[in-house]
Amino acid sequence: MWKSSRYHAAEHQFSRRTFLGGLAAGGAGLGGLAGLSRRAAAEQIKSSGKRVLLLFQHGGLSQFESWDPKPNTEFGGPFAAIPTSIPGVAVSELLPYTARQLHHLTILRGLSTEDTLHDSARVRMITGRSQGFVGGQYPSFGAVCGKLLGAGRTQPAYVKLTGRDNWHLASLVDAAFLGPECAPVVAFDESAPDHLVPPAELDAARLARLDSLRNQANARFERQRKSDETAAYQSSFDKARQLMRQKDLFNLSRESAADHARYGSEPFGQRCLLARRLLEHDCTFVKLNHLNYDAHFENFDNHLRLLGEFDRPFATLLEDLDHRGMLDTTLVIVMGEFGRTPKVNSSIGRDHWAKSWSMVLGGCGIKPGMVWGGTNATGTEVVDGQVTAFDLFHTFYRALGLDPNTHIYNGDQPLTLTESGKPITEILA
Amino acid sequence: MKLEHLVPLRVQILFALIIIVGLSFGSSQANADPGVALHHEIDRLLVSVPGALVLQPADDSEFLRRVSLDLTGQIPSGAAVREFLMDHATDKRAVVIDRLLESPAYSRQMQQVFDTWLMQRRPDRNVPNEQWTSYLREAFSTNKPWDQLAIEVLGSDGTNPQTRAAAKFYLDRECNTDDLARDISAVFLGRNHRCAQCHDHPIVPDYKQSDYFGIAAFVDRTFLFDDKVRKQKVMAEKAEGVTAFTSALTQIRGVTPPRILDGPEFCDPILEKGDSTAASSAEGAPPIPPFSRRAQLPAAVVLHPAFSRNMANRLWALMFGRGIVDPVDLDHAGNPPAHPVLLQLLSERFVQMHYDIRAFLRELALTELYGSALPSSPTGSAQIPPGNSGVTLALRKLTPEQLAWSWLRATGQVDAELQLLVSELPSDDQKSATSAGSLRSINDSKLYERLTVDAQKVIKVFVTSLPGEASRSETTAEQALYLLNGPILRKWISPRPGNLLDRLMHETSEIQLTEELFLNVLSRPPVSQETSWVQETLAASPAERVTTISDLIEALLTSTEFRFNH
Amino acid sequence: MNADENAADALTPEVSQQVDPTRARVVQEFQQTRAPGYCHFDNAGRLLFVGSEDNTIQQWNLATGECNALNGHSSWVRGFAVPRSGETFVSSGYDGDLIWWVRDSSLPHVANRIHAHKGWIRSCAISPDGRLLASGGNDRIVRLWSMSDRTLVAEAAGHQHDICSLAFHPEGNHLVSSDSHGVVKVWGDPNWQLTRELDASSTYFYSKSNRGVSGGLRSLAFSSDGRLLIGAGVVGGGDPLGQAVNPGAIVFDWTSGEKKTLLRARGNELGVAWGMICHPTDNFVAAVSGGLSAKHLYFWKTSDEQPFHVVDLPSPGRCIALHPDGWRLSVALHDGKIQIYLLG
Repeated sequence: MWKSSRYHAAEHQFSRRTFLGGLAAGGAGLGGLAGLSRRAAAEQIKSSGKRVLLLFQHGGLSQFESWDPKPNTEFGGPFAAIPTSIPGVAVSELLPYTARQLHHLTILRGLSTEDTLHDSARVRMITGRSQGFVGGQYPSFGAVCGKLLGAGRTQPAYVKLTGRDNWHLASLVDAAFLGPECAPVVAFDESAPDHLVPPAELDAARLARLDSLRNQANARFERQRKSDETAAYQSSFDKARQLMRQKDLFNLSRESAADHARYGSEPFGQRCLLARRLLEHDCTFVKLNHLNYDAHFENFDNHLRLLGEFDRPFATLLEDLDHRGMLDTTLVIVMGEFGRTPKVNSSIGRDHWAKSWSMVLGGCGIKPGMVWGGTNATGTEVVDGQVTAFDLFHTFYRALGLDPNTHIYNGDQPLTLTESGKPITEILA
Repeated sequence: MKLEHLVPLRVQILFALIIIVGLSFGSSQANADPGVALHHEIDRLLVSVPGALVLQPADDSEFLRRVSLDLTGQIPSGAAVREFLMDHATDKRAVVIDRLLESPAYSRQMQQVFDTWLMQRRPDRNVPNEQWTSYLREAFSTNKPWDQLAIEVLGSDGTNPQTRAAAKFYLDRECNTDDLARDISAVFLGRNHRCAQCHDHPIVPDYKQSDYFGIAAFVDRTFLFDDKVRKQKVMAEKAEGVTAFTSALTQIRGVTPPRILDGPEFCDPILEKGDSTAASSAEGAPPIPPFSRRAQLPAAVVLHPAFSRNMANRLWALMFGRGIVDPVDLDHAGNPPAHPVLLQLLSERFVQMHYDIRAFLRELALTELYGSALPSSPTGSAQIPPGNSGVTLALRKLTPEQLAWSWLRATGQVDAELQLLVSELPSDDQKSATSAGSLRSINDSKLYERLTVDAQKVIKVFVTSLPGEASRSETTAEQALYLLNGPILRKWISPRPGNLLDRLMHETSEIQLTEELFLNVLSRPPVSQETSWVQETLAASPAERVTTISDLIEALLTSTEFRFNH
Repeated sequence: MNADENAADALTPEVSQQVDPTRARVVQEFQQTRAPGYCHFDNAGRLLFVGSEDNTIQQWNLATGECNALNGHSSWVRGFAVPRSGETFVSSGYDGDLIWWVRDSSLPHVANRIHAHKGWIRSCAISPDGRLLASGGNDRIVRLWSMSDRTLVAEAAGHQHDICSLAFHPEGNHLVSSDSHGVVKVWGDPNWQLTRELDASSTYFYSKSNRGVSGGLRSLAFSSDGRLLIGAGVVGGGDPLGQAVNPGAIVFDWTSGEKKTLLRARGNELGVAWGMICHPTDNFVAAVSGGLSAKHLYFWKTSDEQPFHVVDLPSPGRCIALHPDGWRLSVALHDGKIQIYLLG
């Protein structure tokens, strides 16, 4: 599992002082142990081999049209509820394939998260923090997991899959003070990043010399002028080189024709197949974007369309993770930044709603096949098992074998991984 | 008498201009003596106060690179750096500022900056980009004041060929009310009301839905008209229509006449019977209303205090790397300026200077802060003393345009192309064209034309915002891959007569070689360790001298020092 | 001549020349508790059927104001096919069912049911001779049924997107279907094969940056002489979420298939024309819109881009129906209000 001798050195020769000073020197590279407390480093070793698949439904999926249907009620909408592979549990008829795989997952129906603005709600659900702090942002869940779980792995720790036209969503706050080595690699449109192959005239020796010359040129400048942005720029070249070495990772033509048929040729399906490939090849954290669920307008038509794209590929992905024995070590999370209003607006849409909404999770550290929390008959409030965003993050970290009260460091300022909350112990395996 | 109903549009605008000029003369709210140069006033506020940053002057080469990037959008040539370093005149910085401001490159830089602000890299729709950028360049080369430029952009309807280019702001947004309302308030007033289209902004109390629609009401009756006579799309305006809105959060309805934020309302005049229909015009020509709401917009925008404040702040951000209000389009009570008194001073003086952009930039460039070295930040955060307002010079990335054009200059593509252009002149003209100082006789546009196709390829890779969004440029691994493996940088470095590699290949002295390399790429002379470094690198691969020099060039081109404006 | 025939023949040219939408005024108003989706008068003009979001059909008696709920569907009712005479009518729903109702007692009751489509049925239409029923929706197949014995007569496949609306040509030998991407297909008797397509793709909007979608022709109608086909829905605008759109309609020349006129809302009114009728004798178009700001009842001449009359609605309009007498319109609103307008 631990491949590079460089990481062995860091693992065995650390001292507390080394850790605390490590981040300032730029860290030990991808997923390095620098910048962690001793306890965090130990936990990191324990959690090695774990992965996360975060499927983010941008815009806010309607809980009525998905995980918490209320057919034939005042706000229920026209869709029926269908049984699932969890006895006694129904989901919207818009998710027939996922319904058959639901026994791998647990539904949380009591989410209540206060924030109904896209940007800040996304920050909340992606960083586990209600907002940034003066002069900065907290790192995303992906960046934190990449750091805490990605040590010793050679694959990119954190990959984001999104459409090329949706770049503005892929570029939300990410590594923040964890540094550019924790920033994600972004793959657009289910294909590899462009320009992965060097020109013919550049052999390995020359590539190495170019890198060396650039680094030497940077050394003097860096002694006087350093910022998050300069570090990000330098790190982008390291990342580029790494991607070049790993270009096959993004090569979907390596997957079988049968698998391509099962996932379908639509972008989201291809994205799910690429996610499977990345996770199978030991990428630590894969964030898969799907949008746009912000159905202020013609909510029912839009959910028909979007969940029509989502349902079968997601179910196929779950099935494959299970068949490959990867579910035990992969935490699967499916959520948006909030839910949608019970009341239907004048455009036959649903607006933002954070008071009572749902998400699903499963795999690593989560008991499958459960429903936790519930809403009243019309879906207007949580009546049982209320969960905040921070409770959720406590649960995520615990499921991965990490202590949310671990510190990560912004310079020399220790910060916990999320705000105070309680994990949902009843669903933790 | 119906004179007030029938005043032609151009007369209404002229009337507004008269008011503006009158107000400018009358204005004297500054808390400073207008007889004192603005840059001294700025120094007084920033440098000579307790808690102020202790400023070290920037090196000459550092200063020249910075001011060239900010005023002309590209690094200086190696020759210009050499000349500046050897100049011992005490006022050389002021002289070079003036020279840069007079150059065609200044007009092009301002054209690029204002084009990005006004048109947000939207694809062409109804006004070709070439006409628009020509119009902007002309405006900056004649130093058209900002208020006049704003009035032209907001006042043209696209029917007059002389002013059609200015109408691109409207025409390429297809007269869409929402695009216009949002962008007018963000670009001209520094207030991005994006969320307020549907409801009062939930977290910015200053941004109200009624304010958004108050701006929308100026343009709500305007629509894109297919003018069959002129065979082009122009703007037309209905005579009637009420701007109403409903909050998506509260369902409360509202109606508003045209109004700029807290400014006066522009109510429709009461028309006599029979005037309510649009004045008839030639068959197929756009209808002209007896009263135009849109015609009231330019003056209303220019007269609002946010107008000068916004541009003063944006020009500050251009020079210093960060607005005093940051981000520049989110001016509201919850996002106060880092130095309110400074911003007030700048806003007022900008008006007193009659919105003279060139003069204003000159003052900013002459400040002590602009001429100082960046605060040192070896650990990643600048050492700013507690209690300081935080108004500093910021380390910032080159914009995509600056990057592309600076690479073209650094690799000597500009020199090579100039050489080619000279060789294409009639032989009688060639001799005079190559004499010192007269290379400017080569048409700047021609040079630009030759190089722009490649430049645009690079720019595209480094722009990460979408068309219609405020410009952003994040750093990505994909950009690094493009630089490492893509064709462009390699093409620009490859030797061709007159370019950098060509010159360095023929340089026998390694000391001269290093100096030429550093002056052209990093716009400074090398320190002795760097000369040793180059010598050692060359010595390590004597059989591959050309590729080694090429790799040295590439290393410096892709270095952090090059990537940033410092 | 019985009462139904009287009602059906009430539409004489002499009477209809006096219809004047500029004088449209509300003469009756009802209030239901749930939002309506689709409405239609019975053939005698005494009852109004409103498909409501509680899965019922609300049957309103115009004379008494009495309302009865007809239960039968398990999702929203979004289509009615009412023959010119007789006691039978058909409803179509988002449950994929077609229900034949018979009025042989105080209230209509379910006589037959066919599970006609997988997923929503968005529209149904009855042929002019009353013999055929066409249905279509999210499974993208047009199906034709015998009204009398409910057998499947034909299927017409080819749409790549959800079918939004159906209309028979007045001569009865063509059926038109429109989908959510603005594709309009024409199917011809006797085999209901595809004969041609009309292009309303300009009504479809897709935002690449946010993947918002809107558009398509939501309702279709022919002019009574069959020379014009009108399709209503969204004709302009379009923002990243797909909601800042402008309501309107396209008028096609039936013979050539060319677009003749674009019927627009005023200024930048934002919404969708969710329901539309074409008046059979005066050939004006009436449409209701709802959405961000356009809560209106529009009246257009088929030759003029701008409406000749607009009525402000108190709540977004969801559907519209023409009374058999040609004088009255029912407009059902998002807040559950049902307004009956008299056009003169």
